[in-house]
Amino acid sequence: MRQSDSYIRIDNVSRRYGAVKALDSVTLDIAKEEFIAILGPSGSGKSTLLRLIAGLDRPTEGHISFEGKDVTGLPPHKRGIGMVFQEFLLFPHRTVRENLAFPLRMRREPQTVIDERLEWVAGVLSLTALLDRYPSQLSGGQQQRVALGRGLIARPTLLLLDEPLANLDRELRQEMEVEIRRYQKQLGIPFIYVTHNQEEALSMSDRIAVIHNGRLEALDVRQAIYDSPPTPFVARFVGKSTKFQGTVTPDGKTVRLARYDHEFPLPPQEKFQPGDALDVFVKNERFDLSPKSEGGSGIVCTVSDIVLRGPFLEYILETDRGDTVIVVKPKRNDPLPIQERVLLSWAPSDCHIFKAGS
Amino acid sequence: MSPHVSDAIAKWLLAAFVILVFAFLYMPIVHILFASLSSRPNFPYPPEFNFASYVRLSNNTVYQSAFLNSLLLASCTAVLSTVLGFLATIGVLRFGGRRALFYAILFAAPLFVSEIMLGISSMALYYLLFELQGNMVTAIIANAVHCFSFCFLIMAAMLYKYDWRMNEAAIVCGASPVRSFLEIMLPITWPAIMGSLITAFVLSLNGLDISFYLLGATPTMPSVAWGALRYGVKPELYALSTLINLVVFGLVLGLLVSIRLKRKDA
Repeated sequence: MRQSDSYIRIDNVSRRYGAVKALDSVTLDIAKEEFIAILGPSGSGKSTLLRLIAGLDRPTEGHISFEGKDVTGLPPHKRGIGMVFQEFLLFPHRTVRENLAFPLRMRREPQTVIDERLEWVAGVLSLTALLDRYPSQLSGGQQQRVALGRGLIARPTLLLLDEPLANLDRELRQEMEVEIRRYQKQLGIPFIYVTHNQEEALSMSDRIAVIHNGRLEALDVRQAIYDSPPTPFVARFVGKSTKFQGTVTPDGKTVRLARYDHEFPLPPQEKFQPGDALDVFVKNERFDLSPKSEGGSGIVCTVSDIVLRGPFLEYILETDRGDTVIVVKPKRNDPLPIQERVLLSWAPSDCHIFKAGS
Repeated sequence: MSPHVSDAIAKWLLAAFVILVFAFLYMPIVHILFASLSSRPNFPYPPEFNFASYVRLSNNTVYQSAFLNSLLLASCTAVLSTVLGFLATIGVLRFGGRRALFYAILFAAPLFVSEIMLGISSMALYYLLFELQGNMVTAIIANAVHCFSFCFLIMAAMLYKYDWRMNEAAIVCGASPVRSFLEIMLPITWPAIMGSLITAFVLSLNGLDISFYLLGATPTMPSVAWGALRYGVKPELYALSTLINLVVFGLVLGLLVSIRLKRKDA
């Protein structure tokens, strides 16, 4: 992205706690109407980044600016942001109405504005019937919507969301994923969404920033992060994949697997030297599976179980070396039978190859 | 005997035991109530009610100034030790980190120092350092030292479950730290603060030892009561005790009601 597009700019930001580097030289530009997911395992530094943007913590180095204005030293209550927390953190002694109006009251908005915005937010989030209840009288999903409303009501510069769906059940979560994305498109402000759940990141965001060990591991549009992961960590973390080890054959054109009697052509765009040790990642839904009786090449496996996941089947395969591989296929009425001997292979363009240990 | 009957007997025995325990706890208090209202305070049974003791109490200027002194002492001590205890609670729970337990023990330890020792030692220390004679201020300070640990324990126990991120939630909503404290933290933690205020108030209202050493000639209710003992127990003392008990009882009741109302809200 060009720098002129940048609405929120995180410039070379680091945060150290004593000797521990929670965040290490992260640079990130976020456009005005962008939904960006910050994805990483727990302890990766993603929540630290969010707290720095909110102003709840100060960076050890680097600068953060909103709309070209440096806010690095500005306390959180003067940043004009909205934030939604994983635990919702609704004020228990205040009704839904008072919770929602709180950010407006803090900004000393007149009562007419408060009433008008309350009506708007309660309408958008279907909270009108709940306005006089206390948070303890609401379900998890309702509390979530109030938290979201409280974050949005004051028309913030940006909305920060810290794993807001982690405490909801699966069905509700999927419903909210669609809703949250819709609000973001309606409001046209950036949403910065922290999650450890790659499905949420993929389903909602425009771009995904993958954070690992405090560093920005990858930053790209969601399709690119999923289809062509730039690093082994991203390949392992985004999507469900299986890792194989192999080496480049002496002619430099084929990859030979270390533990299995299987070779596949090295894709021409990959630059590796003969004898290089490689890590090969294959997404579980990109495997080809054929009965061994039909012949061909591949890793010989036995179907040990089949898990039905709605429109998909998960074949649990066991290789002759005792490894388990999961293969995801669209549901069919005539699945391969359990105990069937099968050959596992993949198209060279469907795997991601990295130098071993990189 | 059928199991049904033996169950019933066990239930009655248990009930009788509970009644006995309550009687043991409350008999002295009820006795003083009767004695204060009786025309024959020394043996008030069967009771013959009149308010003579209360009339005599209201005419006694020593008791009146003692009452006012005690009220002042207890109120100031309650506020001072609750404010300090609240700050200590925040320090230990929020910023204590791995050493939180150590700090908590240090703050709670004065609980185990005898009140007489605390009184004598405070008196000696204030005189040594500031040549300060016993007066109301030193008595309040010494009492606050004693009550602080109680206040700390009460508030720490109740604030243990407080989610400090509630303050952060308020701040990102645009509340300044002061407003976030006044509008969010204070109302949520109010029962803990009330509990601490009432406990410190009652402790310093009733405490004899510390005030005795630090107040010199200034009378407080416990010291006047103690002094009166030497010239024979007079009925107005019964009336005084009853009044104090009623005040304490009212405060505790108030606390319970405020917690109940709070629960209903939340």
